[in-house]
Amino acid sequence: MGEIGIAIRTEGLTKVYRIGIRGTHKGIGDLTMEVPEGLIYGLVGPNGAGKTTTLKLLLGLLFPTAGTGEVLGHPLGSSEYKARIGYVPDGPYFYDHLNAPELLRFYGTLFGLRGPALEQRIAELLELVGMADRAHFRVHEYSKGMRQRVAVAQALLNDPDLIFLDEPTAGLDPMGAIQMRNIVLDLRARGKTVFLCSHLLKDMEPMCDRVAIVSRGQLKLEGPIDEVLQAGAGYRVRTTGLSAETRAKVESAATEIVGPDEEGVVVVKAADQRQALEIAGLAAGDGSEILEVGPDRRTLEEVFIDVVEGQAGD
Amino acid sequence: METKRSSGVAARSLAIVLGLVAIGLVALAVLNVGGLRLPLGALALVLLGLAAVLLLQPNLRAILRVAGATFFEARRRRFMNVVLIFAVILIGLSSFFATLSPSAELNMLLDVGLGSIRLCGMLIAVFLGSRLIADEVDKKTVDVILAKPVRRSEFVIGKFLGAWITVASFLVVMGVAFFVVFHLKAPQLVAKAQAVGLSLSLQETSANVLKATLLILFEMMLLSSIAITVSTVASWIFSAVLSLTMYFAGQLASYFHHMATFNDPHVQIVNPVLKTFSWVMYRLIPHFEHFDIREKILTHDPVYWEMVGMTAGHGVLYSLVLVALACVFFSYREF
Repeated sequence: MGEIGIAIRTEGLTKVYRIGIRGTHKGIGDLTMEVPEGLIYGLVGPNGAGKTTTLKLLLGLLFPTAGTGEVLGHPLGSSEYKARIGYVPDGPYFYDHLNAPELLRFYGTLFGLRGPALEQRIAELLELVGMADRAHFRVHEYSKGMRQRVAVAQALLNDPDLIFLDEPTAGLDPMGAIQMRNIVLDLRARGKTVFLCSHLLKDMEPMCDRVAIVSRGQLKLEGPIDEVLQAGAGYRVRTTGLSAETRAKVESAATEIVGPDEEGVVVVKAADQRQALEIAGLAAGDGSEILEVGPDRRTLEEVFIDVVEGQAGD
Repeated sequence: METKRSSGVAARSLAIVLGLVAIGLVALAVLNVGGLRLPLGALALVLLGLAAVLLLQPNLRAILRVAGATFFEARRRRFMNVVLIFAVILIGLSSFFATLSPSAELNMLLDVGLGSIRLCGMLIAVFLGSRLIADEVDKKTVDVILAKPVRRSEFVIGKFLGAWITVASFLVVMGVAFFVVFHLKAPQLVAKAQAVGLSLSLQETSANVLKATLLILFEMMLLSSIAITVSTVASWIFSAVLSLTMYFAGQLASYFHHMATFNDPHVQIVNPVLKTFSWVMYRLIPHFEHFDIREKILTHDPVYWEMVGMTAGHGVLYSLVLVALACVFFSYREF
């Protein structure tokens, strides 16, 4: 089995903006991360956290104040890797007077594509993003969602190995968001690496293999999504038929008791595995049915709130 | 792979040789050997350009696509079309300026017609040049382009080419409109002038109009280059104001030269600060006044093709230096 390559690597990457003559603002500070190939990597954070700064540093649109980085094995900003990447900006703007095929033809030729191969690729991509029937519209006639779809199409023109998406589902209707998710999942299935930036955590959670949470220009938490969602969450016991007497007994060992829900399921949360097993023993001894004993899993939103409020990851 | 590497080494070696020859030519041009300062300088610049092409190996296709997109986008700007229509109307009206004598009427036709082309060309060159890159940055369209395998220098060169093509196309439209008006009106005005004993030649006047129009074309190419270069580091408004300032200062080139070299012992000494300032202005600012040959035409002074060529060459060389500067400035720009 071959070793998994690294699509993006940064080492102490820092960007400090100058504000006025003496003022400075740290866009991102001391960012060290590795994005393995073939994964969907999510960079999440509140507005102004440094997501877009990071993305622009990786694309060579900004220059780092300190630190280094590589994309697909090439130093940041070099044109060598740009032929193998795609980029969907946040709130994309294009030349207003062009329609979708003209726009894609323009971007396609920048990749050296031309002739029937380019025309076929344009037709495929317009179909993929659901714009085939509205291809003749000029860009200034597009809604935000339509612009977003065309932005995805232009990013896929060169069949990139690595695609950067900045707030990809922003402005899309529910169907558009599902379509976008399917496109991203399909890219991963074809071995591509996807680097997503978003604050729409509900969209990110089911897609990402790894996530990094940034806040105020600092990387707060990074890792595989399962580990991130379980970090600090403790354990839980799902049980039914818990009597009031037993509930009172387990309360001392539990950190929280949720339920029962309409199916009578009670979730008892414990700080660690030992306490969880103790709770399960008490409930089972009392005749309750134990449905599950295992690590608790929080939502990305819960983890995010903890991290941003400084309760975890520091 | 090996072949590609060896051809790369050969290209680099050739570029170094060309660069060294160019440096030698620059030295000869500075010394003005044989009075050939301009041809030597021009040759040096061409060789330096070739060396740069060999070293950087630009993506010509990308440059042409950016230039094409710039042209088609610029052509749709409402301001440009309004100016063009205004210019064509003004040129058309130039034939209705009735005056006392046939000679003065012909002069009025030439003055108003060429003046209209120059004025409208100036507006188009300044406002197009100032906004081309600024708009790309403001609308963030540049982000998507620079995330593709397009170097910043290729983008800038494409923008210059697009601007020059646009300015040239607008000037061609205005020039054609003027030629039509001129050829409708001029023969009878020349005939009237000849009837009262004035020696005017329609053929010579037509050739002079062509020379004047060509010089306006190179002048506006240079002016748009200034505007684009400034806009790579400043806002479009600053760029427009600075370009216009340079344009009007460039009309005073001979005045600056006179002030810088003023050395009459009978007259009070000119302030040394003013003298230095004049010298810097004369050396730094393009000599736009040389592009305006209306006065020569109106006073029936000869306008030689050599002079037209030298002035156009001055514009081209200055523009190429500005392209290089713009590429350097833009390479440090963040988005």
